[in-house]
Amino acid sequence: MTLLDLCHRLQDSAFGTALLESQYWWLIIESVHVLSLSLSVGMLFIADLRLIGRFRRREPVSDVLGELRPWMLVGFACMFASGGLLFWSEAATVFISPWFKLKMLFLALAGLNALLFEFRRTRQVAVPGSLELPAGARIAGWTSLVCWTAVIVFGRWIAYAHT
Amino acid sequence: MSLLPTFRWFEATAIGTFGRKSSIFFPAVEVVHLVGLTLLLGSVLFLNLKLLGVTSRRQETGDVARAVRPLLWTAVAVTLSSGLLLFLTEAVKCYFNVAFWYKMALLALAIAFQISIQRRIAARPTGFTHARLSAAISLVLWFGVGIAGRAIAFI
Repeated sequence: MTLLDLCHRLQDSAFGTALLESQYWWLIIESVHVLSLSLSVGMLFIADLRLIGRFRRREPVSDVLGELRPWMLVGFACMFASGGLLFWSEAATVFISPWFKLKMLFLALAGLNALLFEFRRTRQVAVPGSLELPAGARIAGWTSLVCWTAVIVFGRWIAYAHT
Repeated sequence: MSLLPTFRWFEATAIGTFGRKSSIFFPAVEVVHLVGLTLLLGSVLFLNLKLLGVTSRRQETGDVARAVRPLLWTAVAVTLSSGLLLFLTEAVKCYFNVAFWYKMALLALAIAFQISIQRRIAARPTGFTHARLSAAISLVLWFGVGIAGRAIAFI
């Protein structure tokens, strides 16, 4: 069974069909997906601006990241839950969309970038509360800003392409 | 007096006409609008979570507000200007869309609240109750703008 077959099964499942055909649920879930951007990517953008030195430069990176992390994680949980449901309802339709593939590519890159940054940061013996940027912080910040902007752009484009 | 003629005029402007002819104009501008919204609501959340007392506990409210202000107003500028371009391409549709009017009313209230009351509350130490109340009002107004904006497309 190919991935596309699997997508067809998802979309044609009772739940997927019910979701797509429900008048309000789909709109509500889609709105949650759009507005959760503020909590997830919005907060992440602020953290990235700290990393590239454009926001609260006099505060240690670890402090800024530490206070934003729980909120971002809640935001991304909402994002993935609502995004997963939206995908379920039209899996096969979006799977063949090149924009969806680009979105997933940049999502993966953004995730990889975050993992690499966290990995390097935790291995680094930094003075607690140091104002010095962790190694590669600037590059990680810019990469994150670019990748997430691309995720938003391609995400929106999926809907334009199949209407 | 009805505003409809004015809205027809908006739609007939060169930008409005160009926007409707081009297949890429609306989506391209809307994507900018969406990235602006992400930063705008992100900054709003960041400031209000501080006012609610759940983040930035070690920082002064005034410092957090000063740091967020340029982000917030840059984001407002991006969303307002891209929003205006979107509006020009479909002004008449907006005129007949009830969600559009809710959005504009909430937007006016949100901006007025931000530059008057919240600015004053964030500038100097006030009672925690005032700070929390102000944060709750600001969140309701700004997210209301977002929800009403999303609803324009659904109605």
